[in-house]
Amino acid sequence: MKKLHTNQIRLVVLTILVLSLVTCFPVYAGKSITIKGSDTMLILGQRWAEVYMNQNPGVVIQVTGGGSGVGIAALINGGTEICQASRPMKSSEVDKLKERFNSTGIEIPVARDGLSLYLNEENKISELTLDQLKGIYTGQITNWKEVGGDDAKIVLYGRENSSGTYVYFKDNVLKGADFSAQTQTLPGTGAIVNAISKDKDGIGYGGAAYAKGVKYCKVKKDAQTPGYEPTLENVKSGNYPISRYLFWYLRNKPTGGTKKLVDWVLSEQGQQIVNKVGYFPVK
Amino acid sequence: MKTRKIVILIILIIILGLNQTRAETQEDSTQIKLQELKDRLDGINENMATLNSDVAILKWVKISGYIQARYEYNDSSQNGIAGGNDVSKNLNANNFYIRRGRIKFSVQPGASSKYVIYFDASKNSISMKEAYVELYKTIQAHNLTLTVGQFNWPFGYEIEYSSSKRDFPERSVAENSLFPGERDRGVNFTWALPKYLQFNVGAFQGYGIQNSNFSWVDPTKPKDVIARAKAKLGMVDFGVSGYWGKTYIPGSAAVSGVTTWYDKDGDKMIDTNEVKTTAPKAAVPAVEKDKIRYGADAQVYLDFLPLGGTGIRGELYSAKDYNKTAKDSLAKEMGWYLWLSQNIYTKFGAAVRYDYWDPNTDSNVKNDATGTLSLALHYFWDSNVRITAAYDIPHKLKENSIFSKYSGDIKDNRFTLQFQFMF
Repeated sequence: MKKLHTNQIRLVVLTILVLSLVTCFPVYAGKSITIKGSDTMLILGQRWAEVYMNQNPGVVIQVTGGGSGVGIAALINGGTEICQASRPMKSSEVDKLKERFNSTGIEIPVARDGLSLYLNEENKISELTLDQLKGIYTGQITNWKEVGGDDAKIVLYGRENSSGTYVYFKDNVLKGADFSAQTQTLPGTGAIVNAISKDKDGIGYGGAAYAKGVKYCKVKKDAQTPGYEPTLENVKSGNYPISRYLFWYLRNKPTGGTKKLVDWVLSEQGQQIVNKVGYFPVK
Repeated sequence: MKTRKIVILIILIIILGLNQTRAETQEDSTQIKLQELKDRLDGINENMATLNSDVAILKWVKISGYIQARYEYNDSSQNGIAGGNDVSKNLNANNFYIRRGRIKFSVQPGASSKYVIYFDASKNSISMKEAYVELYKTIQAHNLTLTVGQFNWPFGYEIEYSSSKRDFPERSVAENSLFPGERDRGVNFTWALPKYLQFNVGAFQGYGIQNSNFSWVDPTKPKDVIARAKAKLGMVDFGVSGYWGKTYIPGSAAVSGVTTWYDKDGDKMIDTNEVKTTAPKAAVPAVEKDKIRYGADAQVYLDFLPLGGTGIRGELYSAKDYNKTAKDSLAKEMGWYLWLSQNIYTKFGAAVRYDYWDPNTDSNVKNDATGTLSLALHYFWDSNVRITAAYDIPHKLKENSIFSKYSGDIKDNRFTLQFQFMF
């Protein structure tokens, strides 16, 4: 009787294994590819998807935003095939990927971005040092006159903490310090630009792709060096001090339809779209 | 004629005047309405500011947890309880039960500190697993963390690896023997370098959260010390750990010999067989013994199969503890496991592990080691649910072998079917 039970259990295990192998294959037979993550990269991802789907009828690419953190979480829990991120994955996130998928993930730089500082066109200020920016966003500098502007309270705009842009700015400009509690968080770089265009005392940061109706603030490494705008030349030369890579993350080495898409994004045609959207190509 | 013109002019002036008055009235009315709207907008803005502030507080709080609902079938199961009356010893091990029902609350208002409290509701009890405060400081990309309270021992790989992610229903036998409960009360300092390396050093009570003798007090003045170094090199991670502490074994008071008699046959004579004498027992002094553990662990992640990622994990434990059989010496213990895990696309996973444990490596103590082969299959129902079928084949090992089965090994293979929801 005991023997029978053990055999039954073995049969159940074997059945589950066979069913597993049989049922999992159709899941990967389809041509639908999901891309999720950075809001900064949302338009770029959508442009790539539109052109690629036009050239490859039958391929369906779904692109959604939510922020780099949200995209990475989706990659970890199996909710997306490709994650768009405007920051590198954190060590703790890689650990989660190892736990769930036995993988360290595949990081593919797909574009470069100069993280832009925006001011209202009426603002007297045209350039700021990294230290001044840190002082402004940590709440140590609260009035424009402290950095050579009018006597007016600085109004801070920033991104939500699920955004890769938020994390990048915090790590690289604030050097890990907390944002001022007065920072108004908005759900996308477009919203920040829109707010600053209506607020002459506002300052905000975001991707270069959204810089319309406001002016760029030149950024200086320190008081002695000149200020630079986030142009292709300045980002490529390294003169612009807060530029970054934009990434695609995958769980494993791309194969099949995903590999074709990745290869195309890194091709000359894919990188031309990067330029058109307002970012800088990686090649 | 002239009079008529004058009358018409006056009428026109009056009409114009009336229109002007009406226009002014309309303008005033519009101004009032605009002001009303502005006031309302200001009110909404104020409410929004309050709402944003309230929502920001909610964002500090993170709630996570998981439930493992399980059925276990064991070859050794029998109907009933030991002796027919000892309810504490159930002979049947085929059960439906909740193995882990966890919920964790974290509150992190900023980047500099965090509060965590973590409960478990499983089988028939609720207990607090963790409660700690963490302080964070970043100095030139070096991340420093101070943890104070009740939390995981920072030793080895298995302890910090969540049971919600592990392929197998339980941790290795070595880990369960050396670190029961996985947690203790103490303080831990973590220094994470910008890349690759992390160091931990901590001081702990030493008895863990499952010790029934010393549930929260430590009978020894010095605290146990743990140190760990971990390197993350991408595809390969490895670490070494050390634990230096003391075990206090309570003594017992002297017991006098006692003579009692009972006239069973009622002949008013005390016969020899009606007298009972218990032997006196000498006092047993309390002892304090070293408690030493060393560990080394490594994990390799490979991406060469089209099915998905492959993980190979291994860990070695070496320890010295109070020796129950030869009390003047320390028992040397040894354990290790090797664990292979394979993802099968995104929906499935499979794993196999061999787990060895010898509670006394002395060559004179034979047939006490165990070797357990475990197999597991997973189906990921959705991003929250994992269904696992696992089969454990434990063997008592022959003499000092690491694989050969001892002839007295009993049939106690275990099948586990587990449904886990995690959020």
